[in-house]
Amino acid sequence: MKELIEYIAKALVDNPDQVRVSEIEGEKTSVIELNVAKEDLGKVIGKQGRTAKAMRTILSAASTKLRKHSVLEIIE
Amino acid sequence: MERNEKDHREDYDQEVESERTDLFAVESAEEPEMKNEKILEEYDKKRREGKIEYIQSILEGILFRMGVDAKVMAGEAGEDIRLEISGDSGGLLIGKHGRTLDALQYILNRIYQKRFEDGEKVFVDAENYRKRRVEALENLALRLGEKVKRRKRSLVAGVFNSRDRRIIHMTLKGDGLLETMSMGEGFYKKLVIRPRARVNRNEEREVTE
Repeated sequence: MKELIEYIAKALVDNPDQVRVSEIEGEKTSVIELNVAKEDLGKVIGKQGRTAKAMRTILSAASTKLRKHSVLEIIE
Repeated sequence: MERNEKDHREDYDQEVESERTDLFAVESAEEPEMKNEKILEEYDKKRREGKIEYIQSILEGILFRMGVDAKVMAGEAGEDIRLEISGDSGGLLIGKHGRTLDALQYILNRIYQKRFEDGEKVFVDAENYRKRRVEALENLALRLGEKVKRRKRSLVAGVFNSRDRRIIHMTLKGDGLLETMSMGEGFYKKLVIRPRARVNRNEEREVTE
């Protein structure tokens, strides 16, 4: 899941080398933390949070396959 | 002397390969601007192919990291790019009312615009879902429309995004006995179908004229 978010985020931002993703795995739930350059925050959040929402939708579809639950946190 | 020999050889080529020299003749007869246009056309085509390949590979990359074994076919619909996914495992990539498909499409458009900024759109479909959805919504609209006429009472068809609402509005647009309207705020709105209160005056005039 970490690779999925990292891949999407890197394609969205102007500074892909500053994309950092970490995954904290729990038994059923894992939290994925996404760090990007300050000026790229808007790119991963989007207008009215639509980009972040779309990433979460894709993430939950992928997690369903693994029968897990994943939460995406964008670190500001 | 050299020149003569060359001319002679060209004459010979012309006799032997008349087809090829015909091609040459056509090309040399063209205006220089025409040639430029052709080069530009060729360049645009290559650029376009490169853009399509790029966004196709991004989608493949996402699907791979989602752990989905699916193929992506790329095509064009006018100015727009169409990406078709086949081999979706049980609607996973479609999601409830196509929400996962919409999310993929949204992300791909953001990525595409960031890189190319040409205003062209990327459409994503899986297992012909988009077409099936349009047909399902048209059938729903017609069925509910009949119900409204029979009961002479309005009803809420459901909560839909703008694209789905548009399909329902368009399907019932031609029905003089019905009206459709969207209610509420935000991305998803209620769609109401109701009996048309009275004949619109403008329409009445049109009929009598």
